[in-house]
Amino acid sequence: MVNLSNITFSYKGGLFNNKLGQPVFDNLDLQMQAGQGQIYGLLGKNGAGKTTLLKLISGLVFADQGSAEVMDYNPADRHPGMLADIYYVQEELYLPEIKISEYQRFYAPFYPKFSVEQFDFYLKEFGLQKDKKISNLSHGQKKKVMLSFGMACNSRLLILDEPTNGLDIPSKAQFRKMIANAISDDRLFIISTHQVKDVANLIDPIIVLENGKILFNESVERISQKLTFDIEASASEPTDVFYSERIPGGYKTVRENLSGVESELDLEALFNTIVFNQEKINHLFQKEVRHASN
Amino acid sequence: MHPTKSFDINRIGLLIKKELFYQRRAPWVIVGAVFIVLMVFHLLMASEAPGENDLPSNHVIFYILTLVFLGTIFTSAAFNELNNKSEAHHYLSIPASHLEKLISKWLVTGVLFILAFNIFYWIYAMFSNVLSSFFFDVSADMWNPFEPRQQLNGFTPFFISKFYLATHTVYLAGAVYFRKFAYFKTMIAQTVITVLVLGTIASVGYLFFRDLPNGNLAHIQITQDSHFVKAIGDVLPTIGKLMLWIVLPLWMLSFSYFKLKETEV
Repeated sequence: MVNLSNITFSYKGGLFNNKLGQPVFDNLDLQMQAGQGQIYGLLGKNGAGKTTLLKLISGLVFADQGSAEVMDYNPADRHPGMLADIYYVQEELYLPEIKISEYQRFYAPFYPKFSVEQFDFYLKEFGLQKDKKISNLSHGQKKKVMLSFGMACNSRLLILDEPTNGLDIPSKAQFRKMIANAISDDRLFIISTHQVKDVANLIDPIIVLENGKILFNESVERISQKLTFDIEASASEPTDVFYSERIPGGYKTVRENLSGVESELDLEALFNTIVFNQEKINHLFQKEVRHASN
Repeated sequence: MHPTKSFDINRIGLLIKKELFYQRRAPWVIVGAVFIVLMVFHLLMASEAPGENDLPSNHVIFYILTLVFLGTIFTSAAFNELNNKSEAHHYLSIPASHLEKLISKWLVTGVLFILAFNIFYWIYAMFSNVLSSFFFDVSADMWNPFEPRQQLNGFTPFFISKFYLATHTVYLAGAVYFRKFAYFKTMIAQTVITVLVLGTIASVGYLFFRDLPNGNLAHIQITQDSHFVKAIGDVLPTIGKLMLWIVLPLWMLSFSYFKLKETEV
């Protein structure tokens, strides 16, 4: 569904719209497929290139080199067929100064698979009324409108950039429930977030982006097979760990899973492990590939 | 509506519908202000008018000035969505092709604007005539944009609307190209380009004919009957018309299309 190969991208600017500084991506390769309800989690530090990657997929920025293919379209063409099958909920929202019902009236006809019933249902779940003017809503409520609209579009590719930012605690649970219900085998969702705890049981596979490079791209099943996440009641810092973090009463640790017993995935600890122990993690996951190929 | 088609007339209809809905409030403030300003000027002129014959000429001037002023400002704001990243994201993500988006903007700022403007001016002219007749006992004939006018060399005021339709594409291109203050930037760019083109023509002319005053080319005789003058007289207006009605709008629309296609967020 999404196929990026050898992508190089730099932001342009200046008087002559020339390239500025280091490229955001240099020979980036990434494939994402729909099937078995895949919700890709895109994690990375600030400025790692997450939003740029999402914009590249949705045709809002164009690669300098390499090839990009999204649902058999070149995203840079912004073909209506592709745009009708993608819905991208931005982190910084723009919504016109109209009522929710008017937004539906003017934008829903562009999406052939849009379901008014679903839109009404999602709005109701979030506790929003259609006659409300969007500009009078809070940031969190605006986000709920966009999430509801995006899910009701039934587009094959749903891109959510920091979807839980601004949502209150009950709404985060509602959001997880809705996303879990909305995903199907022919749809692909991509969630980019810093709020890893909000989407902890939702995202699989997990992609970690760092300085424009894919550091990690693995399924939750494989991560659980290879790593153990634990909390150890110890006064001294544990040794022989990939990552440890001081918490009240002990340490949060990430080790190689030697017992074969799967532990509950801690996304925050996983992310830090990948970022701070890149080589060890790469070696561990590549070792598995090498064994499998032997 | 077929989502996989690059061009769909229904999508243009949807874009126009959305555009008109968004524009439903903002122009009324400007229209109201222009209406009042025109009315004040009209009444002032009517109070000083030596005779009723001056009012139609006032109308022609007001018609041209307001058409050009309102039209170019309105057109320059056509792609305001692209000024802000979030808005640009939202607009460029609407499932419609660049061509459909451009055509919808061209129709709204061109054809529909002219229609609305002519209705506006007709209403204004009617009101102003009633008021000037009531206060100063002077009035003009009913405003008819299709009536040939002496002040316009026999052209009708509606011809100016057609002229606007061809030339407003310059401001449409400016609206896509410039991020902020598109109106002023387009005006400056237009002036600079005009000066450059005229300067180039003058320089080329000078290079060819600089010896003429010295008598070195005295043997060349150009008379009204010469083939050269006749040919120029036949060809130049045709070239001018082609440039104005076809080349300029198509060039500007093509420029706008490619610029819109290249726009990133």
